Amino acid sequence: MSRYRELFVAEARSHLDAFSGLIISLEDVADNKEAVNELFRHAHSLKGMAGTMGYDPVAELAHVMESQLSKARNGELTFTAPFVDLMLEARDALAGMVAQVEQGSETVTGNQRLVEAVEQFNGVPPPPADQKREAAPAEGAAVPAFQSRSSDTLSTVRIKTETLDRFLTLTGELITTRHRFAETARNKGYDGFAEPLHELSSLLRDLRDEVLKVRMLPFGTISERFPRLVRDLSRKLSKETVFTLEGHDIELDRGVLEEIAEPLVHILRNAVDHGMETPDERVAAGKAASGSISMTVVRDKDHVEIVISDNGRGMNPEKLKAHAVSKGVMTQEQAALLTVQEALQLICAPGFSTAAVVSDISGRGVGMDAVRSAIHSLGGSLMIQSSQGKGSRFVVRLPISISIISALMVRSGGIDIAFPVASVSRTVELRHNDIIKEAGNDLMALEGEYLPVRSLGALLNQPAAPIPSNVPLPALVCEAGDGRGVFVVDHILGQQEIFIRPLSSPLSLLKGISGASITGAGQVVFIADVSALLQ
Amino acid sequence: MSRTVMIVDDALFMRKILGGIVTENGYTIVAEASSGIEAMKYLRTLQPDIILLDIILPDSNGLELLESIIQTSPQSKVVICSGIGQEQVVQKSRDLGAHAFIPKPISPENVLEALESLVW
Repeated sequence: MSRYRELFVAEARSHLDAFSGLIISLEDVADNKEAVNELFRHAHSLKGMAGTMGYDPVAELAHVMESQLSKARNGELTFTAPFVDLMLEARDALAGMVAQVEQGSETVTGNQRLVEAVEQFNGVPPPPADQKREAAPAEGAAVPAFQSRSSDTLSTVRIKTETLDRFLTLTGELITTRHRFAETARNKGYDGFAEPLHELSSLLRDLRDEVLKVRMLPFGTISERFPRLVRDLSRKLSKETVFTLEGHDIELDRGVLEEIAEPLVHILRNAVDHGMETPDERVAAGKAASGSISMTVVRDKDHVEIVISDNGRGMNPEKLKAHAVSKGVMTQEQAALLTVQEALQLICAPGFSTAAVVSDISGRGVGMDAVRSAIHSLGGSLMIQSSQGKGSRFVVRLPISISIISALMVRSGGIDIAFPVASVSRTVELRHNDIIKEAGNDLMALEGEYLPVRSLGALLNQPAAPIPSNVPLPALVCEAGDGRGVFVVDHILGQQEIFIRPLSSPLSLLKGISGASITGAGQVVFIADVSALLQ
Repeated sequence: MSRTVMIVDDALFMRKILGGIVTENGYTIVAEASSGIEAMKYLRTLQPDIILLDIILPDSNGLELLESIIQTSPQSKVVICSGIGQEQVVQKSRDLGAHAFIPKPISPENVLEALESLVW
């Protein structure tokens, strides 16, 4: 029966996910017949499925939920906060039972207390229960293990996402092998290989595009649980927050989605926890009692921009500076020199997060510095804007796909390093008299701006080679997020498509390196982590 | 030649499960219907050997549907998929001429046992 169990788990999950999204929307706009009907149908389907499979506790709980939703449909019950709370609690309990099924247990443990609570609910909130409901389970954040756009028709298939990952790896290896083949053909002087190789390149590009396309999933895959999360946290903190989400249909590579879910959760939690005021504070400040948090996703060519903004209290740059000084992140003198924009970035500085922030995310030690580095390791950027008293805005910019990129290959200290083309704005030849020394830093003027100049070799702790003073130095002008800078290298080798392979520990701990790839010559190259190098 | 089957159930999940079980055991699915109306539409043209019928459907009285099925396609064998607490309906459907029934919870064994009990 295990295949059917898998089917049950997948279908039950999709009913439960849809259920929680709908019910939260009803609390804000109670009079929505369509949504009530749909809720009823989800409970009904789940009951039927569970009955079919013999998971009686699931069927029993779904049955009492269905009865209450039927009353709501007839107008006998309204979607008050206690009713929504109870329905969500029941939904979570069902999710727990589905998880038991997934783990392979033959029988499912029910929750009789909850069945009775739901059955007896009559619009009056029950006395506070001993057990406090935990926050929404984390299962919703995970990118599903199956990928399919519509599983109901014969023209589509469900496949394990591992298979898709494998396709991508194979495509990457094919591209690498083509490079090697081309190089061998060139070295040995094989004539007549150019044309078929050219053809092969264009076929591989098509293959890569198709493979990347099937890996795309809508943003909604990870955002389904966000309304619930904002709501639960707001209620826990006695705040009133309306959450809106736009662009849930924008598609990203599942790898990117997987990596970005937790950082977004963290930003949202911060927005409710630190950004939002209590209703009293808001009214006292002349604002509406209920605050709003919005998340907007838009596509911009090869990138998506996720904007999270709130109309809460905003951040005070002076307070941030003072906190940074007290935490030993910087000295008083350094803090005084910061612009407002730089001061806001301090919340991402390692060591800035307070203990409260760390415990908030259940001891996982995720602070804004982890959020920023997660975004950077995806080749994205984070911009923070804030206006005191009016709110904050976090702009996360991400590439839609991360696995196969165009890279500029450079050589430094005898090793080859790949720079993602997306983060290189141009290449320059630097003459010694272009470099301006100021307070121990090397700067160069470019387009009316002074950019820091650093030697890539020195940043990567390579042995320093004497730099000849009479020849121009090849250099890359790079940017990531708000940072711009110039890196001097030994040689610029040219552009190439590379397939990014993640590094595992201890190599993953190398600062300034975000991954590796294999070149046509079969040589391993490291991929520069531009945003880390710019810091 | 393998026996042809039509599944009539409003729940997609049930259609998938039943479909999987019968296909794996050598039967051929010729149609899946999610309502009584749909079932009748297919019935005339396809005349399946076996009809797996959910007796509780949203748009029809299951017993009346059963009667129409037997009238329209008398050579088809009707297997009733029952739910918990539907013993009375099951008894009535037997009286009306249903050939077998599958008790819940559904398992491959239950389904096969019902199908193998059919007399041709």
